[in-house]
Amino acid sequence: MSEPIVQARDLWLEYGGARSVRALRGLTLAVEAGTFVGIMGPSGSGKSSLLYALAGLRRPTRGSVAFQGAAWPERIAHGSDRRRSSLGFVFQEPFLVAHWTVGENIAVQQTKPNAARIQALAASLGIERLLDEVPDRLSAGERQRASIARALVNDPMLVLADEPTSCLDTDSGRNAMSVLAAARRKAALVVCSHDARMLSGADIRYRLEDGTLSRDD
Amino acid sequence: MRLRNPLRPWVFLARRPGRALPTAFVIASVTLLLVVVITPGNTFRSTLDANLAALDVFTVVSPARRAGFEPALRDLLDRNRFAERWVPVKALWVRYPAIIGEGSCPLLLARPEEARAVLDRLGMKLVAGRHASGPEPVLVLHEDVARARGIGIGSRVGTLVDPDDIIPGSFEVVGLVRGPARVAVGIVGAGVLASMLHGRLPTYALIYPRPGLKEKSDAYLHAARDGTAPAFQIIDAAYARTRAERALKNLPLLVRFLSIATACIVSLVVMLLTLLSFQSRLPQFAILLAIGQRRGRLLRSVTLELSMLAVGSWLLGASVALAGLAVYDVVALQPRGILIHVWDPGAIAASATIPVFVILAGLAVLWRGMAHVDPVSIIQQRLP
Repeated sequence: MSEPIVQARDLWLEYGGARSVRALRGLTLAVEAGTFVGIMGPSGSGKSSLLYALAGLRRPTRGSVAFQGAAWPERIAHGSDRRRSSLGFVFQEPFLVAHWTVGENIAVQQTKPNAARIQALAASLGIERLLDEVPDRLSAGERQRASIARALVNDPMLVLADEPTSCLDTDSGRNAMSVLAAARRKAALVVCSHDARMLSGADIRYRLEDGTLSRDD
Repeated sequence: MRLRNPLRPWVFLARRPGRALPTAFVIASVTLLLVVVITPGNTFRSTLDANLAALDVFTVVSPARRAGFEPALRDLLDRNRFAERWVPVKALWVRYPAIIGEGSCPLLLARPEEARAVLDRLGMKLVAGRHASGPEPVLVLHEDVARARGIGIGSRVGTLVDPDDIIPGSFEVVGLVRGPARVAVGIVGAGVLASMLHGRLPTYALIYPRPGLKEKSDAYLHAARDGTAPAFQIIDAAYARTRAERALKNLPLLVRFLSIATACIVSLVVMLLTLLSFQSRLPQFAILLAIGQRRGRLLRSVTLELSMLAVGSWLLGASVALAGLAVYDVVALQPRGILIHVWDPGAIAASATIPVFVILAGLAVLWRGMAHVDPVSIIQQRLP
């Protein structure tokens, strides 16, 4: 058995002060290289919180998260070269910078912009002719593809996707999922969705309810 | 595909100029105001320099306690081997309106054969009228001084024309000269009244140094004065400038106060604008931090943006101010004979405190703002 890319152990996550909300309750999860993990759950079940914790964007209240065997840096707001180079995050909304072109939104993730890599990736996602366009001129589906390209441009070890199809119709959503699954190459992929149809290609599926994870066979 | 690093500072400025405009406007307009307010202050020094420029060419010696030159003093001046010769003159002042109060340029009353030589030695050129000569009291005046007083060829000056004047008697202006030194040169004339009016005026000696030996000539005079020689006063450029500097020594206090107070106020305004701009771009920074961009990289990018904006706006403001001052000089100041250095390094340096303060204040806002960004909270607020 290989070393997990990301591993959560007894992960607890609470928000707020006196009236705190427990988003995750002692959750344990290990994701190995090349695996596609699908996590289903209703709205408010803690799916986003889990992905933020796995990405090192939320500090666990208790328990630990290890990415490639090491904890994330303490200061989240400082950013992290490791997160940029080894992890891709696809958000529910594309969140592209409006005054940058699509190409620049993708290139910002690279230490040295590599035009050939960006063009090849854009071609695999069907947006190669849009690289010089600004996001406002793109459809919702094209913007989401651009955000997928941004997440994959560094060939990350792990790709986390939080409801990546929520702003798309069913066909576009399926299409986005298939390009995400295909373009990730050997990266481990964790996708959270409330729509089970979007996770049909997952190797392992989990259900997350009230912050507790269970295998969905 | 044009692929460039989008975090280069000019990308935002070039593509969102409207967002940078308020800050640019504040910095440029206040820089303009500061340069325009401070620069005219150099008119005092410029006028003073012009009024004292003659002392760069010759040195003036005056008997300290007597009206005339006694033989021992004459002998001392004759023995100055660094001097070509010395010329006795009577000296007065021609007053003229300055930007505030009055300026005074020297009026040297010499023998007719010496009057033109004084002007030639000072490098002055006759631009209207004639040189002073003849039996009547006449004078030749610097054209700027004539303009400032509103007089020309044929005008008369003196207490007999205007009781408030400080020139005894009445002199007709017969010539206007142009050159580096603001000076008037006249002759007393041969009349009884003129002799009576000017005979008791103190006499001075203009010491004409040999070419390139003025310093040595002055040193000789200083050494002679400090020794056992008869008491006399030396009025050279250093002495006159020291006296003048004393009068202007508090001017830099005002300039410093103006520049620092203005820079502080502008910094506060720009801090507010920077904060608003930062808040409006917070989602962009949150996403970039969430996908792994380092805070230092983003901070460097926005600080460079602000620096380029501050320096560019400052250059714009200073350029417009210099252009405005140049026009004002030609249209309003020169016709009144008021001297000003449009290009004043002191004023430019004082206005440079504005971009420096703005960058420091902006950096504090950006550093603090970036340190407290919680990417996830901002992302979640932006989700439907």
